[in-house]
Amino acid sequence: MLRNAFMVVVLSGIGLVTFAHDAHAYLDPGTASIILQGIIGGIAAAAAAGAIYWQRVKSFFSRTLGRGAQHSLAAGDSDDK
Amino acid sequence: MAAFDPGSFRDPAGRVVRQGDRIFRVITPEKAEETKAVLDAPFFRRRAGASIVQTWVPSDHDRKSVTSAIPGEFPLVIEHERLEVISYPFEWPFSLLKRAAELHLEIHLEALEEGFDLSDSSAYNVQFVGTRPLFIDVLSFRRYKAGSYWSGYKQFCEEFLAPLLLTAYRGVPFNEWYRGNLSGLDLVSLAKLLPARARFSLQAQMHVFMHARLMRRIKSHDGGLAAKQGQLPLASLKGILRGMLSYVRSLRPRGLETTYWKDYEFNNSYLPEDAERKRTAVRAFVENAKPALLVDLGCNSGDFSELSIAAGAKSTVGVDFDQGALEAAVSRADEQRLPILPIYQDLTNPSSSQGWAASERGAFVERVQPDAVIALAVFHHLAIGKNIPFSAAIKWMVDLAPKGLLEFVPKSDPMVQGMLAHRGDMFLHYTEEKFRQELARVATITSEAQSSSSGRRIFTYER
Repeated sequence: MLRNAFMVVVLSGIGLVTFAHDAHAYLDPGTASIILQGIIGGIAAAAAAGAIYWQRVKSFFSRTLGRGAQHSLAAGDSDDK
Repeated sequence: MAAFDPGSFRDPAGRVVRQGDRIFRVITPEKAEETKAVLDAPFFRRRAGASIVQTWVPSDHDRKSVTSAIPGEFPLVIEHERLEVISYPFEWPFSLLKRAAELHLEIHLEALEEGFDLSDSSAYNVQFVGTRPLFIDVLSFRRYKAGSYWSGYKQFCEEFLAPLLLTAYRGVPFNEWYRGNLSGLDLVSLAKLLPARARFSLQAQMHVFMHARLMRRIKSHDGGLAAKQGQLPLASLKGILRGMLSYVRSLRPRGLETTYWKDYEFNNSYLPEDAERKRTAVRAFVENAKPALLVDLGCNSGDFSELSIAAGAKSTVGVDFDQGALEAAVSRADEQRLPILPIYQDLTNPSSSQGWAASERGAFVERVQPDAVIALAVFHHLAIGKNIPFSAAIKWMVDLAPKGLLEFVPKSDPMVQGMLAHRGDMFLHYTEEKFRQELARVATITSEAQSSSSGRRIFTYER
């Protein structure tokens, strides 16, 4: 079962490896390494996009909470007076 | 006399040519225009001289002089700054290999932003000036073609990531394994060696375990499967590189917190006045020798390398076999911005000439040619610890540099007593007098001084 699942992932990687130009490279990148990039490329791009959104979410909350913190500090100050 | 460098033959786009002290790179017609574009690229100009080797186009006269001495057609010749020392990844401590890996990825990502790519990801593309990494393989840059994948991915995993993971997960130093096959560690073996907890890391899972599994199942030259290169979106390529960069940045060496020689500077058998005697002798020797390059054999955490630089040595290579000591020396060099390059060597098995035709990667003694050598408390490790014949050990050290400072540690010293504790004294000729005689046979002794109350003695020589 696990083996089949593995092959599905591999085949989806090969699916991403569409047939294209020949790059005249002196280094043999290795078939397995190309297929793996096809598999992890999608994950990596999604992770990078996710990271950007995560930054936005974090900055939204830090702005909101930051303002909130300042607000409560100001309120605390006024209490002291 | 110009000659091809024996290590630069894999990329047919050009070769490195040495002419006297100068380093040139000759470039084929197919690659000439692209290389000129690389030299003009903003990322290259920004980094040249700092993290990419300083590179320029020499005069027409120099170009002709270089190309007339070698076979082949090379319309473009470029010249590089000459580096004092060439070192190899299997000689770097963990933190320097990590630093070289980070630089490789950072430059790759920056080049992609400007439409350039890297054709390989070899650890040998990086050299060190002190502890500062420098990318040297200008010919690796090429124009990015839409859809290209990372050609050097497997190479990066084997030459950078795998050795780092071996130390980060297992606390096993990679140096000797790496030197064994020169191209890092193969991923199939590494996958068997990493602990189960490594499987919880997504990055280790992708770059090592899945990679190894695919490699076992798919023959590299299985033409029908993926004979043609595929299209990888640029966002995916950058994503893989960024993910790898943050993974490499997160790696820490394991098991180096406490090593014996790392703390030897603070935890040794000599008295404070003995330490001062040593320092005085080293200072006087370096001030007199004024070496451009000094080799510090058995450097520990680099305290005598630091002293040598303060006394006028322009740069030093610190050599040790203790990983903790080397890491401490790297920290010292970083913190105080000292031109010290700490490298791993077992002096009884120094890096030899190896690779293709046994000349691709030069021997330690060919690449590191110092003006002076210091070897404090090293001799007894060779002569007693490793049974190296007395005269051979002295001659090897003297052959390293025309001037040197060698310390003799007598049998009565607690360190030597410790070494003899379980083996009995079979070193009947191990005496100060014999040391003096043998040194005088191969060099001129220029000074002698006692360096400890236990009878250690420092000799300086010239040959």
